[in-house]
Amino acid sequence: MAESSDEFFTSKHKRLKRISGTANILAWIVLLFFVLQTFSQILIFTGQQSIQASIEMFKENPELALNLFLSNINILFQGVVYWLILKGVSLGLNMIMETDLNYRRRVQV
Amino acid sequence: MRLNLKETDELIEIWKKNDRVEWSETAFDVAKEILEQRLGDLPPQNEPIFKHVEEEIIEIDKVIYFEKFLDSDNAPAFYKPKEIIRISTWLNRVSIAAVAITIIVNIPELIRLQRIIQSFFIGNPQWNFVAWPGALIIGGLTTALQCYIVYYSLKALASILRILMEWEFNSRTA
Repeated sequence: MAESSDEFFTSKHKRLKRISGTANILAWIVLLFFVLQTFSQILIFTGQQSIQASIEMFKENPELALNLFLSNINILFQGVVYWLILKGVSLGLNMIMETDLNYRRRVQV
Repeated sequence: MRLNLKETDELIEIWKKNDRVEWSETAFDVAKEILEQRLGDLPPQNEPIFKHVEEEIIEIDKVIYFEKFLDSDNAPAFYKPKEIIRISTWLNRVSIAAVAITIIVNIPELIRLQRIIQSFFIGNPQWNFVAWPGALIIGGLTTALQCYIVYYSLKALASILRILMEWEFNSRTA
């Protein structure tokens, strides 16, 4: 809790706070990276030929269209999963730190 | 389910109970038609059920359970309980989506796997029939393993977050 934070906040807590903060920032970087990767894949594909030519190609080869769609969905989804995991790790570390501070305060009382 | 194969008593019970969660609007239209044909008159119906009481109780329990964590007078300093609830809810949702996406993404892999297995029997085309069952077994096992790992990892993280929140809450002094 808030009032317990200053009194018992040691260097170990600071380190944990730093790791949790890094995980939180990394979560957004990773999400951004995967979103950009998805867009870059689409841009690379559409940059190689016109949209009309792409549609024609997809009509002729629907397996290619399906593969492209699935690989993009997969990349984007991976980004969301990593974001959730890193956010979870960040929040989990914060909760462990808060719990430890609460127990220290209890012992003191 | 074919309603016209059901006994009249069963249909009357479905009609009277009027459970719109269990039975669709179309099912009731069909049941009405069948009962009119068999009985002539329709029996009276109860008020429609749009939500099961058990589900309501679970939802109320959830609200009561989470309310204690959201008390602003006793709020934690380093995290927001609302964020934990949000992230763990999303982890549970994404774990289900992950299974679906893993299966969908692995379907084209089956075709590739079948071609790889087929390539082993170039000299013996009589063994080509092994390619599809082989691809299905290997691909199916790989997909199942992937689904298991992703689903339970995400579910576990969601549960760990909630347990840690509960743990932190219980460690607070009054």
